[in-house]
Amino acid sequence: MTTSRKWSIGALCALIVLAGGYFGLRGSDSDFAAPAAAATANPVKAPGPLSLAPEGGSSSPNSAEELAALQKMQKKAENADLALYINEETAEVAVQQKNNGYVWFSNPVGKDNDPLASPLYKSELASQVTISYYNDKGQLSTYNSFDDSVKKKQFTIGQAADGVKVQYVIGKAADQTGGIPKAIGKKRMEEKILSKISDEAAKKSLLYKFKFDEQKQVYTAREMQDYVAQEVLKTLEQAGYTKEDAAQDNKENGIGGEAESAEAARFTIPVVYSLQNDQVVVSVPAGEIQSPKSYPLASISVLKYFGAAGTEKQGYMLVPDGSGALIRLNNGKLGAEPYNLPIYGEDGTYVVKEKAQENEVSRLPVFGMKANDHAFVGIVENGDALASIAADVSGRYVSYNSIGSEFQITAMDYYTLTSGTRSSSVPVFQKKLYGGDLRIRYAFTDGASADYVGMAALYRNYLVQKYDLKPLPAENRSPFVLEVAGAFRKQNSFLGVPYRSTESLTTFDQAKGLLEMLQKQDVGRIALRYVGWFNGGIRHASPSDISPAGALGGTSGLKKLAEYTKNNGIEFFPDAAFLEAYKGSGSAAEFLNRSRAKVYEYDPVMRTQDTSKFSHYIVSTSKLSGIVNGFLRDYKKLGLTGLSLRDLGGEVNSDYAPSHPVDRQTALETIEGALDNIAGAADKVMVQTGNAYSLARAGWIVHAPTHSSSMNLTDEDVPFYQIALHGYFQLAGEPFNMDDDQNPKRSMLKALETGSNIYYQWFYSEPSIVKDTDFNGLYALYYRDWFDDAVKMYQEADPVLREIGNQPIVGHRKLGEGVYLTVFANGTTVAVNYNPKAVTVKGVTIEPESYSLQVNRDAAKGGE
Amino acid sequence: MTVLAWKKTIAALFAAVLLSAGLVPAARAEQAPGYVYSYWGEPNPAPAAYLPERTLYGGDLAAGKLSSPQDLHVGGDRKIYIADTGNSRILVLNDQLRTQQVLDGFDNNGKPDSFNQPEGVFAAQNGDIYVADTQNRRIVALTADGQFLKAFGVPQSSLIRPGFQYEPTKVVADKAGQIYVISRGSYEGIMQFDSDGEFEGFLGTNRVKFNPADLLWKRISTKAQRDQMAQFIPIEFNNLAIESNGFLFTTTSEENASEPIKRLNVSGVDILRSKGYFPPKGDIKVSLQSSQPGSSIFVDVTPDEAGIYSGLDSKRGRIFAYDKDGNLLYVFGGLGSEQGMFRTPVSIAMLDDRTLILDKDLSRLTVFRPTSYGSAIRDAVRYLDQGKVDQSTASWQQVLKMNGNFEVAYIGIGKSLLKKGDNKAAMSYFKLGNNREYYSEAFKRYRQQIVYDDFGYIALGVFLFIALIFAASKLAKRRTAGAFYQDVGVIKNPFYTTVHPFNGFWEMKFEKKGRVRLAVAIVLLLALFSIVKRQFSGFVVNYNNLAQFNSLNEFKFVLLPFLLWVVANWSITTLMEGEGKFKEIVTATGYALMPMVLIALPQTLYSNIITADESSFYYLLDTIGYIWFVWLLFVGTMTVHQYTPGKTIVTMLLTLVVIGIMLFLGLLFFSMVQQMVSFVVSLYREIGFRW
Repeated sequence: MTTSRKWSIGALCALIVLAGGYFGLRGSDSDFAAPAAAATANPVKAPGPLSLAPEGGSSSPNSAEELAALQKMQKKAENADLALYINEETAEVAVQQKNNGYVWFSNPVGKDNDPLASPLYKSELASQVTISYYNDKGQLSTYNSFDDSVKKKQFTIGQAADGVKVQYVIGKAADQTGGIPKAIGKKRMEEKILSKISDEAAKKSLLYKFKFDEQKQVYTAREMQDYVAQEVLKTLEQAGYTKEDAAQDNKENGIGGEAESAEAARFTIPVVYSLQNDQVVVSVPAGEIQSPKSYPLASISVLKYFGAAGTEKQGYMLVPDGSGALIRLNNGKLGAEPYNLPIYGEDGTYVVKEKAQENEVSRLPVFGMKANDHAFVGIVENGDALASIAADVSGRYVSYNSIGSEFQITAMDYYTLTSGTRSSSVPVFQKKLYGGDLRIRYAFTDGASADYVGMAALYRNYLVQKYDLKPLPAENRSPFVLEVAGAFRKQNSFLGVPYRSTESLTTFDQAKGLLEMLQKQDVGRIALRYVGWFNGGIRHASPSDISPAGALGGTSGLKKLAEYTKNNGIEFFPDAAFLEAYKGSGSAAEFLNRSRAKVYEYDPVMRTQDTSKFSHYIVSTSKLSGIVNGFLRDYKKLGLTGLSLRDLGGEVNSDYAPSHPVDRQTALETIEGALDNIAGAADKVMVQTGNAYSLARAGWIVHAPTHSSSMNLTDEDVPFYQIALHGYFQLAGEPFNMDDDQNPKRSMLKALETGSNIYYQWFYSEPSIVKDTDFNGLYALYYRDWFDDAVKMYQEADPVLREIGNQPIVGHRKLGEGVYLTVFANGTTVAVNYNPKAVTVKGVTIEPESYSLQVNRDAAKGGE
Repeated sequence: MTVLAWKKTIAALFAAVLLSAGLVPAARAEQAPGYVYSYWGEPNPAPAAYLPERTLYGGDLAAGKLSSPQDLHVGGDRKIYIADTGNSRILVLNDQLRTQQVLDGFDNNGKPDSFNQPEGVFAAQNGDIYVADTQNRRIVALTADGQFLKAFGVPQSSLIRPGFQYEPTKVVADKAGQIYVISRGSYEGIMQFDSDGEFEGFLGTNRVKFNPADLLWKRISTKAQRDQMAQFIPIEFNNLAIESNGFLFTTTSEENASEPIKRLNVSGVDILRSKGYFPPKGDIKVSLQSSQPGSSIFVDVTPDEAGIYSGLDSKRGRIFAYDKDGNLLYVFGGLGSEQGMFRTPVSIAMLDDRTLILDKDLSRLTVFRPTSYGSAIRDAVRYLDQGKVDQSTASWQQVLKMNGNFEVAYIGIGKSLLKKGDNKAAMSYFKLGNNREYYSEAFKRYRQQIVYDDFGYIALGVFLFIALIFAASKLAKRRTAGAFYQDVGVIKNPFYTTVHPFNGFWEMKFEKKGRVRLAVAIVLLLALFSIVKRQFSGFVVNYNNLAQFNSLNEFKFVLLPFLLWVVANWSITTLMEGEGKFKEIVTATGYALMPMVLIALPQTLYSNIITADESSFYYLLDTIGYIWFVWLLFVGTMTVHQYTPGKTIVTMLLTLVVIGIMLFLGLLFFSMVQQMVSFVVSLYREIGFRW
């Protein structure tokens, strides 16, 4: 703080102007070039010591090659901001931004000259859609729209509202192979065909396509690629061999009509491109997809190479892994696996016997690319629960860095039938598929805002418009988020007779005591999350019917605590889980193998399912509304106003039960309904690990992701989640005492960097109570160990946090190893240093594991 | 048979999982980042002790990318040496991880020379660099600035078996200039060279392990056959490291090795301590049903400060750190596609408190920094090593604050409480730490204190108790005194039998004083008392995990043998002209259990006031109970069946044989039923599935 006061006025000016520029444009979302212009137009001499000067890079317009490619395209739609073009030969699409003329292509223009790509990958580069499908053995094959549709001219381009609709028929053309005999006797082969071909080479190559059976003296046709079949047909036609001949041969050799009845792997995939103001919406109406019954469509990847950046570009790709991470373009990490993580994590209703590692869950359906000074952000607007984000750098198969989304259409698992020593696995496919739109929205930005902060701003604006979000009101104090663990069911044994008893970790009375102690220490505002307060505690029985735990003080104790919180201005969030059933399988979903969706914990050593440690049943979302209604009926009687949701904002699972199947996207929609229902009954809602769809219904997010999984391919973590959401939501990361580091100081720095709140998770009882129980995961929760620390952290962070609580983040930058700078909309600038030694950045020294603060001029004046 | 099928299923499922899911994130974010083994061998959740700080691929080392690097060493001057095997060079980095030197060639007495895939590198105290130049089959010594010092190739000695292919992979040198080399295929041990490169001999050969069946076959084979068989040869060392005091740490890559890590003194004797709950061999609770099944396989080990050492498990990519007594301190790492994880970790080194891991396939160096938790553990161990008990205790308290599951910390605090004389608190800490040795010590002092403080009351209590018993017996005698002579009644008969077996069993059989009901009651009582004993006997002798304790097992262990015995005995004696009826056999066997019933409760009470030293009397009581029981059973069987002593012994032994047969048949029947059930279940499932 003291160092910060010594900062030059010039630095202040620069910061305010920069910040103001960012902030100012939140109102109008069309013109993103403005802040850069404002910043450069301002007569600031030297940038401040810790300023947000852009990383460099001059403006880079399209190459001549790209402009030439645009010339070959037809304009199909246009509005004030964008123009949409399509190449009617190749179905490639381009979008031109009108403000600066920059063109984005669905496929990289230089793809034919890619020195690295094999022919197959060249075709992939030229495709807008790639699909994969299963055969009857559950094996996957892929098709791409260039080889299997465009090249065969099996696509049509039609009009759509504000855009264009491309209908691809991907796969085998209508059966033309009828002219080729499946089997033909040696004699007839020689008479009817070979004798009529004069060219020896042609004869030989024709014979290669058939397999000769010595015993039967019969030639049978081998599997042929489409183009091979075409060639063979041509040869046969020249030899005067007709379809009728082929039919006769087939019949003679015992091959009946079945050949005709076999379905071809042919898929109809419609893709609609449309312009909406300054954004492009790409959608695949899943209901219009046609796929053959015997070839279930596994997945669709849409615009995999949209805006792909070649090796000459600089910048990064943004992936939503955890809090967000950057993959630098051309980072050369070819030893690392390509990035591919599902949004909202893996579908829980899929049996995973062994879990190699636990990745952070992607909470936001967003991805982005910054190439030189242009950037786009893709938002998976619909079908997000089916989507994964896939990204890869140049150098592996192609010379382009690319990022896009992929949708899982049909889930498949193996069902193992065992009899004695023999067992066989049969593939089982998901029966009911999602029928709505799969929709991705692309938005663009450039210049100074072409970075992850600019991307976050685009996403924030999108959320604000979609859900009509309002910024948080200004408050005097920042909240201290306190989570207490209530009761738990302990496995006991008396004289060797095992029994379970509900034991208290923190009674309602003790919780009140904790609150009083905190208030005595001038912790001005507290949000209390109370986990495990009914039906047996943390792993509670079904919440459809609640009775507060007697061990904690029962209903009267709870009411007293609620009363106390109300009188003292404490926000009270009792917690409940709805999607995980810890007791009773009545509401359980089913796996693809028709067994109840019972989830076990994973053995930390072998990483396999530990069938002796039951975790929970996955609740079918078809039962969700009943459970929520039952809960709310009892909840209203208790006079509570807040509610914390343990899993409604954190997981989405399908249900494969044949009687009531729910696909994952429909499950998401059901959860949204339940959230609406809850938001109607409770004044304030808190969610744990807020997935994007839960945000609009919740004001508070705890366990917000604070880092990424650090996948091998990624280069750097960014707090994209917080940058996008701060100012509109009360955020808190991991509890300070249970964070990976267990270093409250570092957690506090993270909180300052991301504008998150102080967050602790405590219980009141002696810590050894959970040792050697199923709850030994709560190994660092004893309040007395952390209390003083917590108060200190709050007193240190609160003066900053209360200033910025409702201010969106307008700038964020890494200044050096472990040193980050964040600028909030009111100009408050926080620089944090996570290193164990002091660092000096541009003349400003930041103490080890400390921060440096610069408040804006107005606030500074008001303060002194 | 079913096991085989199950395995196949698992394998198929794994394949499916690996293919379709790849890397799967958790539904719940609550899984702890680390684990630590409890006394019971359970991997209890623990916080992360180390977190990745940086990863370096070589590109950022300003010397081009690494290529299959295989060894890592941190010198006394804090310089980091990397054997960049694929690039045939040695990289020297400073402690800021910036490249200082690239050694890819040197001037060998006027001729330019270079390395050929060196797999090992070491820097001596004086800065000399030793390189195991593997494919050139030699050791090269360079000065700190890369000038050629000496090179020595294939050693010549009569100790070396003919046909041995010298391929040095790892090298270290001690202060005196002695050089220790590990060569591929050198199962005789570590090759020791003097400072001039003269071969001196082998050090620390691993013991040969073989299984008895193989040995038997070998014994009965002809010489020709023997030569065809695989020879029993010791496992070769795969890595070594040297401590500043000259002791060598070595690792061997062997499945289920009992001592995969060794600490050899100069004469090659393993002096590694193993005072922890489990020997220092990595993961304890392993299973075979996983994609990385079985025990940990160590590929490298590094000494650390204060006697701590860390081993690198290549199978699951984990680092295990132990203190000098062999207590497991923390575990971190793993295989995976994240930056704190590995694909093929090959080498570990410490840079102060940071851990460096070299990954061969990812060609990557990962730097881990200790978290608050990791630092606290290290502090505690270090302070203890320096004799600063108070600081050490404070650090252990810090550790417990962050991980209430860590038993070593409880023991650490307990020790200091013991030292301070707070025996009662020490007892509770030792109990939480599951350390019976120290608990017993604390209890001894506590007991002493109580006896000292309250000697008067205790003496008075004992006196009163004796007086009471005396009075009671007097009173009882006075009551019965007036009565006529009564022979021993039905109720008293078991007690009478216990001390007068011949008379008692006689009366039981011929005077109809035995009661089946009483015998059954005794058996049930025994079951109950053994449960009581199991649950309530003192901590010092109680090795049961009470949380997992299930009384059904107790009944199984008492009732089942009883039933088996009476049935088996009845069947065998019917054939052997025994006179005993089934009823009598039941009664006699039940009555014979009486001493064990009598002893159980006093024994349990006694166990609560003893220390470990006195526990021998506790176990003696057990033995007395068993012998007494066997004696009664013998007399009972003899009397009931009217056998001679010799015949009785034969009968009893035959009964045991019959029990064995019954068990065998029972198991056979059980497994048949199980197969039938599984057949019906799978049939039902398949019908349900196909419908």
